[in-house]
Amino acid sequence: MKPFRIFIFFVVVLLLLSIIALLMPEQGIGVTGDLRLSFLSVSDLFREDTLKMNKSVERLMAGATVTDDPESDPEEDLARTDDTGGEVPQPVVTPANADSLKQSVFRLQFAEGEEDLLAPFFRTLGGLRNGSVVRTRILHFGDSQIEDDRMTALIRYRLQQYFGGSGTGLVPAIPIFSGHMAYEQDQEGEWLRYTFFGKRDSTIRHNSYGVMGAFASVPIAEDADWPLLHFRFNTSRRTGRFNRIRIFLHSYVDKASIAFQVNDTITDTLKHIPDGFSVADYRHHGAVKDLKVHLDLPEGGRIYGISFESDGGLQVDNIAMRGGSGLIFTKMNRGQQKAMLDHLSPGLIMLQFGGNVVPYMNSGYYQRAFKRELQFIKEICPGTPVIVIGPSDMSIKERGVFKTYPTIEPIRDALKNAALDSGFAFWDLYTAMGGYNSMPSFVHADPPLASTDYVHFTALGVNLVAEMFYNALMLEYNNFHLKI
Amino acid sequence: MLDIFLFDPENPLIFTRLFFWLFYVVVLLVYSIIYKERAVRNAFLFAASLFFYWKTSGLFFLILVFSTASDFYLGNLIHYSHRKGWKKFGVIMSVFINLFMLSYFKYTYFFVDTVNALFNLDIEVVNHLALWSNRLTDTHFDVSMILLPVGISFYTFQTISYTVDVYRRKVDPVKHILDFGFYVSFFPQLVAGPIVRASEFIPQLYKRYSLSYQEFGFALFLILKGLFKKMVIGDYLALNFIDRVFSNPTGFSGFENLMALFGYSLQVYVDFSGYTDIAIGVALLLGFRIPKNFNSPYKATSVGNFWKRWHISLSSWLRDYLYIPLGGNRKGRIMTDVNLMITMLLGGLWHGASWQFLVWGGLNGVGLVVYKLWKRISPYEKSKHRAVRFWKIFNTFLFITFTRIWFRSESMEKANQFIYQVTREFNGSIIPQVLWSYRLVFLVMALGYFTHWVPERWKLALLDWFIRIPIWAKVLITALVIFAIYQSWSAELQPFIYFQF
Repeated sequence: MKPFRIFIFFVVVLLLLSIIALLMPEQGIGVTGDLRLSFLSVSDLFREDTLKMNKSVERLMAGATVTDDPESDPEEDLARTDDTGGEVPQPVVTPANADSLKQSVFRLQFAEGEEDLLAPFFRTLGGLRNGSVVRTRILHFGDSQIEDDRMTALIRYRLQQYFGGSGTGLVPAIPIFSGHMAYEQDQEGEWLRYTFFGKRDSTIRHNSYGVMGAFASVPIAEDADWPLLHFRFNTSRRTGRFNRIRIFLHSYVDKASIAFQVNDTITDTLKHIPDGFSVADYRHHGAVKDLKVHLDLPEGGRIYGISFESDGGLQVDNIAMRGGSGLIFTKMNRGQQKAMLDHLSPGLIMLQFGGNVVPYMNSGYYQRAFKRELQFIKEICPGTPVIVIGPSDMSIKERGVFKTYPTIEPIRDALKNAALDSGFAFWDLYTAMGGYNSMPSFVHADPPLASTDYVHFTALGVNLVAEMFYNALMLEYNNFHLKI
Repeated sequence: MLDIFLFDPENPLIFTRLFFWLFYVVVLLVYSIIYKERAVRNAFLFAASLFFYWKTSGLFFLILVFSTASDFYLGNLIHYSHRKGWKKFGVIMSVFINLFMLSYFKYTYFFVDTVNALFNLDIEVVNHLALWSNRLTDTHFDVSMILLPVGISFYTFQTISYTVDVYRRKVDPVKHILDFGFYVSFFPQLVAGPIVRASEFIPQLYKRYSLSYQEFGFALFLILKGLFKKMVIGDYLALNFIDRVFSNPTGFSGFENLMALFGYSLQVYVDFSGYTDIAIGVALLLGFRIPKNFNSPYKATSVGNFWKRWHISLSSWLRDYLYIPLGGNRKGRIMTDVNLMITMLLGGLWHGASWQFLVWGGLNGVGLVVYKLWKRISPYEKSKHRAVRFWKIFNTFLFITFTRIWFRSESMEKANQFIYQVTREFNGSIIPQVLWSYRLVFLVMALGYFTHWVPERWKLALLDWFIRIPIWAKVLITALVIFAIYQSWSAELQPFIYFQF
């Protein structure tokens, strides 16, 4: 067979395909309910490739100082041991510089007249620096985008380097994720995890799930075998070092007991824990490498969360609600949430939601519903400022091309309006990461910044956007201190 | 218009893009005019191949040109010099230059990271090639990073095989440098193999073009099969399931991790074999025969048998140019095992410069050694019983799939996370939900394995039928297959689904 015949063969195939392309309607031909046949159109051939690297993403990558480990920092002196104490350590990093940040920082947005929203929190942070304040904390709520301590970890690490503090903050007793960088965990006994978000277990008739929206049901102790939670900490990490453990629990009867076994020695047993909600508070001096928490709750109970924290400084809690959209606070037990929040005493609350409603929910409804949640938070946490972080870019695939969900921007606006209408602040993650069609550039960056689901960031990607948020927060902090 | 001739790293010339096929049609048009003039034909295909490599790798094509020139002249030195010392010098220089280039571009980071980790140092990689270029020619290359030229692992091994074969007098040196350049850079197999031996390819340089109608059908069948395997099965599975799991193993249950591993075992096969199927088909339509590179590897009955079926051109290269020179099986049982381990460890490193590939190679080496011991004592080794054969295939497949954990994981940490999830967080209760929610993914996976494991005679019957049908039917089927591939390529993304809260 001569090469010219082969050439003609390919030309005929291309012609045939061109005819199909010309005859095929733009929206394709429906075959069955889900199945739709489509083909290239002439305009597809000249369409801009959305997989091309977005220039703003290239700039973000060039300007970032992060790696895939939120705690990677050669400047950090891991040998220091005083940062779990009440003393505020000296900063080991250069603070964010207001002048340089102004040029590159993607700033927080405030409602008109509410530019000083964060002043009380910044005053507290300043107090941590000069020693007039002992501790404060940030509650970082979010959906799966912050799971596994993502986003929070870098913000926590950077802030703790500057303002002091260590430890993981609040963690669930039974996690959905096993990949925490600070510790490994297992448990003995028939522990079960229940969540108010996602799929709710209909056998749970109450709505007391704690501020994390999830609790672990504590098995009933059998004779001398108390159910236990076992943690092995990586003390070379800042999050793995702490000297205070607080267990937020609910016992069904009084006279419950909790024993703490640190590095194979029972160091303390808390007895006569009352029924109902309480906080078991335990302090330990020295590194905790191995911790077993033995629980004797005679009729069982719930653990709403465990906080591994330093005595002083700043705590930042990662509260991930997989599949959540931030609309559950008003539906959960108000008194119980308030009681837990009173113990936690947050200086700042961050809410990072929106991604899970992008494919499904009307933005007008979401704005009204989210505003109700913010109002509720305002009531149970009076005076605590809130920063709402909007959704990241997310892509759908249409005719082989990845493009931003058409509902992203309306949902982003819904969250922004709800936040600003409530007198709170907003940080636009979608625009910060490059806006329309930035997600394909994150996915195809080298190394990748997002997963091929075109929704979730990789460890490096999430640290990159977390650093942007940290810079935005520190810019406001520096501006506040420049003003005073 | 000018963009067509410029290097664009985001639009390389690869088989799965329309641009490649337009390029190929233009090549065919020119080829149909000049194919009878042997020297012109080879020179044209050399030029087309350099253009292909320029579009894929930019200025790295100069390295290809350097490799071509150095090995051409060293080949001549080896063949034409009368002194044994010069011959030896020539072959040593060729191996050294090729391995140095490969090491520089591929292994610098691995060596530096390893040294830093072992001795607690903080050595930084500097691209001296870029540095010299910047100083000498006022270029502005980034000196802080070394990029890996596409296909360097393949063409360096190919040119080593040439000079060694000339040294061993298995092949005469190529007479003209353009012919040699064509052999080194022939675009169908330049970036992903197969590694074509000089002794198999060079005689074809001097032959007239010939292609029967049956061969045309065979080549077309290979191209369509390769595109289908790569785009409908491999790309779909990777995008919608496998990549998500391996990028974040702890975000998924052990069951999902395990399914992603089985999916990957299929994906890596359909990707790689699909690509080489296309390469063989594209080359054959130009009248050049490239050897088969895969032979239903998951039908292998042992690890040894697997390596005779998987990436055949590499495993035979390693056998002939590494294992046998090391002593092969000629120096006793222990040394045979040592040689096997060295070969497989280096073979692992050839696939990628990281500890994961070393572990993967090492595991395959251990698999070979253990199987050698086992077959001496196994009562079933010579059994032809169907159940025995099934059991052997099953175990080999499981073992090879197990080794893929390290082949696919981006780091040792991710590999450990994968193992942790499978062994500690399996979560069998969600299996029905996972299977249902990802039903299309699992259907594609089942289709891939089914088409792999069907009897060879079924595949041959299909091939035979395709070869015999008239050309107009081939046109229609080709268009239909491309239309089907487009449906898969343009399919909506599998949404992210949570099974645990």
